Amino acid sequence: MRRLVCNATRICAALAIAAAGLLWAAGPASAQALSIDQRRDLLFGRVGTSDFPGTVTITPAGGKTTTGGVIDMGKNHRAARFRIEGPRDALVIVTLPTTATVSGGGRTATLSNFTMDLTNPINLGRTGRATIDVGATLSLGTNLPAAEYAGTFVIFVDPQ
Amino acid sequence: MGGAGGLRAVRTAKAAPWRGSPWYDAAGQAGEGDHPVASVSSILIWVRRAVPAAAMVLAAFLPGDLRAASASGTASVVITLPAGVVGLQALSNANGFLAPAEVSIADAVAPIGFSPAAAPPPSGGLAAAVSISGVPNQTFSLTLTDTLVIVTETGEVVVTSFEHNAGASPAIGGDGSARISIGASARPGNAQALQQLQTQSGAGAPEGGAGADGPGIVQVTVQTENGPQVLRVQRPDNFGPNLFGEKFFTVLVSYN
Repeated sequence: MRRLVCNATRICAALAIAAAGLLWAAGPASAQALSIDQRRDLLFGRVGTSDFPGTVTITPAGGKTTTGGVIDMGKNHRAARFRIEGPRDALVIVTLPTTATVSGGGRTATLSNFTMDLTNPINLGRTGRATIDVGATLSLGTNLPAAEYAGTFVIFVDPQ
Repeated sequence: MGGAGGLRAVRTAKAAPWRGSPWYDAAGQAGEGDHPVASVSSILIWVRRAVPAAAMVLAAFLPGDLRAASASGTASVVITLPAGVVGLQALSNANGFLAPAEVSIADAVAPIGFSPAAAPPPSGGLAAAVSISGVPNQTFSLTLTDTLVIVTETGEVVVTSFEHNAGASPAIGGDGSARISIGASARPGNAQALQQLQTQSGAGAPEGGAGADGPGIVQVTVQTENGPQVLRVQRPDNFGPNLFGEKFFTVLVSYN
């Protein structure tokens, strides 16, 4: 009886090692870390401010809308684009920032309400890749000086 | 045998079919007899050896090993001084009176240039003047009202063919402002309803001319189905007849 137990234990251990070896042999194709890179900037284009505050919003689809005293002056707006890479069929969670700041001309404005075109969790599929488009809302104060305002924001991607 | 603590004792205690297993001693000799304590310990040793090694290899391929990543994105906006338009001077023919026949205000009144402004024409009519402010040297497009209908107490006048003197590619000056003039053509409106309107400011006024019955009273000749008829109209003020309905035209400025 004791010998039987011992043999079973050794067999289990051997199987575990064998399985690990098989995974090791198949390893490089399926074992990677996640990565995310920005492919396009988030551009709000050209707007004008007035005596009233307001907002300008870029949707993940690239649409542009303004509210309040902000005047849409068109030109060159688009959503940000990020490329996520990781293991095949991995499910990942993308976390967008809550707020961020852009600055220029000695003044600042606040980014908020970040949105993306995909829903968490995101399946990287057989290619191990996914592309997300990100929009946001920019809140502008009154009579901001004419200038280019720029800033950064951080996006996180985690395995589910 | 038995010289190096528990592990040594276990290894030398049991026989096993595989050399190198816990059931062989250090010299590779099988142990003698059964030893229950040694068997349990041997199993634990194998578990301690095999499981961590397997776990280490397996762990490398499990999703839990995926490390989080982050990326920094850039956002930007260009805030521009919006264009502003301020009316400086109304579009008018002579003293606000409307001519009986079609007349081009733009032709009769030379538009005011960008700078310096041209002197008002001798006819007394005035082109409209607007001031545009915005981004220095910014080119822009002008969109003007297409047609404007002015209804008075006694007539209807259609103002059309608005034009400006800003040229095909207007631009705001280096100081952030520009001034343009706007002219138009006026013609009588619906003849059946309101007929033509003629003021007494010019020659040919019937029955003694303007203001025959007192200040503020003017006589107008109206074309009716029965022919011309002279009417006396109370002029409300010194600037012309009352206006009803539309009397504003739109100047839309958009940056290129």
